[in-house]
Order: sequence, then C-alpha cells, then structure tokens
Amino acid sequence: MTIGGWHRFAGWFCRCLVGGIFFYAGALKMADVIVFAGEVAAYHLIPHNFTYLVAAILPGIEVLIGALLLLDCRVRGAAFLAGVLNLIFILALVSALARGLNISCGCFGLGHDSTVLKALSRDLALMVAIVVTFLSACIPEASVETASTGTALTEAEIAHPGEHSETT
Amino acid sequence: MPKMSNLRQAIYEALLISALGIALGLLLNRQLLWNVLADQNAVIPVQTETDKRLVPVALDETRELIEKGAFLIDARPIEFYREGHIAGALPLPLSTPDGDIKGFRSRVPANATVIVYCDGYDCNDSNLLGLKLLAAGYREVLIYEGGFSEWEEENLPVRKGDTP
Repeated sequence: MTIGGWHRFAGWFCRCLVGGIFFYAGALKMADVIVFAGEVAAYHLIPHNFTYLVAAILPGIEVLIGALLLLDCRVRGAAFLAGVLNLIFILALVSALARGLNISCGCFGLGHDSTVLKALSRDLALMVAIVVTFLSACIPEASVETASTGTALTEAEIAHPGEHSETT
Repeated sequence: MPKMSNLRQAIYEALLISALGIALGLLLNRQLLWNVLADQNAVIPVQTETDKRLVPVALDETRELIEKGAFLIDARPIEFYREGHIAGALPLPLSTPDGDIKGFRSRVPANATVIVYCDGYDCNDSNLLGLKLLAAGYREVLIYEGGFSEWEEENLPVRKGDTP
C-alpha cells in the first residue's frame, strides 16, 4: 500500500473508531441520565446541582460528535471537540486517581463500570485515535502522495492540477 | 501540521456542535432539570419509585442489623472483593447485568434487609447498586456509607478470596 493509501486507511479507521465509541457512550448515558448524574457526582469535582446539568448535556454532545464522525461530516470540528472532551475526561480521571477514589468511571453508563486506571489508559489510547482523525482531516491527501515521490505541490497545483502539469 | 485556517474552522465547527449538543440535551431532559431547579434539595441518588428510598446506616447500626440477619452486599468490582471484603458479605459488583440481579433473589429473598457497601464515603457504587436492587424488587435497601475502609480501620473481621 502507498503512503497515501495508509493515510486514507488510518484516517478512515480512526474516524470510525472514535465516532463509534462516542456515539455508543453518549447513547448509553442518554438512556439513563439520573444514574449518569450519580456517576458524575462521585468525582466530587462540580457542585451538586450542576451534576444534573452536565449529565443532561454531555451525552447529547457525545452523540452528535459520534454521528458526525460516522457520517464523515464536519470531521475537523467533531474531532477537535472530541479531543477537548477527552482531555477533560483524562484530567478528571487523573484527579480521581490522585485522590484515591474507588469509583466507577462512568464512561459507558451503568453496567460498564471499569476502574479509574483502566479508563485512563483507554482514554489515552482514544486520544491517539482522535489526533490521527483530526490530522488526516486537515492534511490534504495530495500532499501525502507527493511526500512519497519527493515533489511538493503548491496549493494552487493541488487545487488545479491540470493547469500546472503542462508548464513543469 | 494543520494550518491556522484549519484550526480556526475546527474551533468554529466545535462551538457549533457544542451549541447543538447542549440544546439537544436541554430539550430531552427539560423535565428532569426543571424538577432539580424547583427542588434545590434534590439529592443523588434520587428515589426510583414513590415510597422507596435508600437509607444510609452507620457502623454500629450495620453491625446490629447483621446480627439480626441482614444480608451484607459488596458492590465493588470482583477484584476488590477478592483482595478483601467484610466477613460474610456477598459479592454483587455494580457491573452485574440487571437480569443477574433479578436472579440474585434466589439467594437473597426480596423481603430481606440488605445492606450495600463499597469502599467508603467517596465511592458511589453502593448507591447505584442500591437503586438497581430497589428496581429489582428489594424493599429494604440500606447503604453502609463508611464502607470497607471504615470497617477495616476498626479492625473488624475481613476475609480474602471468593468465599463470603
């Protein structure tokens, strides 16, 4: 497979993986917001009544991110937001770990609880997939193809390849 | 590296997605949020059904109830149970599927007094499992909030392994 082929495959794979995980996690939490509020409260990071607000809006954002990534629509924005959310999750888990809290991570709603350490390692791996998704959505495939041949194209050449190929 | 224009567009799109997600969440949960706003003292965990509540109990009360025949249930993950649990406690991790919790009634009758615990005051697994037990038909579900940490600190009997 060429470099461009790998670039396409990695971008596609990570986009589907991140999209699927966010959609699944958001849908499970959305199904039982009260229980999710309890799991948010267990972190002791935000005031009591705000836990309901976070539990009410977070699953909606996760489902939207997941759906957009799966549908290959607004990938840059969805991947960027997924990265920001994932960073917040990682910081919350590190804080729980530092305080020695023995809580369910609340990542996939009730019935999928995992230890804080397990959730943290999963979120770090997910962050790698998010970064790959974001970068492959930002870097044009043409520049990757030319990287393998050693000839860099200008933006104008990428946009209008026919006009410039005759002169060079 | 992504260009600044890509980053700007990504931030703009992310803000738009956030706004839509927040609107969706508020719309779907408007009744719940209204209830929370109306009742500032709403507590977590909340009631699952009318007249069914989780009742917190202290260490002394827990010991008395165990002597009277109450069942003690460990809500922590099974690895923690194996590492050490309150002597006599039955393992029922929060991750147990709902169907298996209903099956648990063959071991502990629904009319029994059950006391659920997890690690201590900082953990929430006992509250969440308590709600599931109420939903599964248990009528008297108590939460030992001090949990395993307090029990161990008081040098009360603990056991390791799979046996209660």
